[in-house]
Amino acid sequence: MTEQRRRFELLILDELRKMNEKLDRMIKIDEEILRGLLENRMPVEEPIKFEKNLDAMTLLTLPDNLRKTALVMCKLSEATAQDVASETGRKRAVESALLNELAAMGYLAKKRKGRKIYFVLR
Amino acid sequence: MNGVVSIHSSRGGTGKSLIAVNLAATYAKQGMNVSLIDFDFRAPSLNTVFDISKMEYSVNDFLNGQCPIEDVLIDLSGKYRTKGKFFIGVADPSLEAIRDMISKSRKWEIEALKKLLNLKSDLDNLKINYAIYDTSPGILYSSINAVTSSDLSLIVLTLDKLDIKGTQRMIRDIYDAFEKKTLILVNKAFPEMTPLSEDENKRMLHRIESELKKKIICEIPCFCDVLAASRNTIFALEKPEHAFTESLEALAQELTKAMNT
Repeated sequence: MTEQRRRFELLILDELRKMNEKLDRMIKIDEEILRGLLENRMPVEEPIKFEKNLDAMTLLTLPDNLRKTALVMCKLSEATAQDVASETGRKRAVESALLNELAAMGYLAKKRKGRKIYFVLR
Repeated sequence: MNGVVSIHSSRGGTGKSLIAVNLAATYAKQGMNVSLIDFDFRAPSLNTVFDISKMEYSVNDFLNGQCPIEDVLIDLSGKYRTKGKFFIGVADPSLEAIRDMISKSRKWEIEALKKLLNLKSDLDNLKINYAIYDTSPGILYSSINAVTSSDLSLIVLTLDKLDIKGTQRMIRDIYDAFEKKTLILVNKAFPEMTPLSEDENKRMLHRIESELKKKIICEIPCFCDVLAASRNTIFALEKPEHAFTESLEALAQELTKAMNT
């Protein structure tokens, strides 16, 4: 029984040794990869940004209700909903909704200055 | 400022530039301060019409952000002895400039549109009463930008079926989309020597108006001597008694009315 137990323990020890060797090899490979990356300083590729431009041809593809607002933004470049409403003659709330729609479509960006929200042409 | 008129057509050869030059000259002769600006960058013509061989700055330079509009405008009031100021803005006719303008990026076109949308107030500051934009025929960035930034657009067409159908498409695709105030001028309407009867003329104009769903502001006959003068004569200034000049005076009056309504 004792002999059998001793053999079993040796077998386990042998397996543990093999596993240890495997782990050492894996750590070594990891270290080599990391060293190579740092030495070569491989740049991490940035995702391509899709920019939407409001040029004259694009204006023609917009729905009618958005085109007027977009055209005013082409003139002003940066404006509040109130600024745009003063140009179009429509209500501020209407322009605010349309400007947000253009922002959601990717044509405008939004920024805050104090208490006011400005829409900016991309 | 009284207004900005863009003169456009669906294709070349309709007499668009001839009308633009003589309309601007008519306003200047009547005592208005006028600026006539060439936005036809593919085929500039004002340098030839006014015999300008050297210019410090062109309209191209203005759109490229290299100078303000006042540096582009050339004062011809002294040369033509007009009552009002008669300025012209010339597009650069050099091959490099034409090549440069047809290969502009979309980003540049956005900046150009912004400059044009603000041009009316720039001209207003210079005490200009009327600005006339001579555009490229057809649907190009430069012509759409000019049409978009004007108060009223005058489409010049001949009785050629291609002109009428092309204009119909252009009105549907551009003018209606921008809700632009648009009027039609029928040029070279019929030969001067063989005019249509009044009834025939009325029927023809009515047919065009219903096809285009736009009002015809004026029809100008085909004058052989205007064509023969080959741009050497600005009829509105040099031939005050000519029927072509009278047609232009009537057009100027109608346009003024249309801009005020």
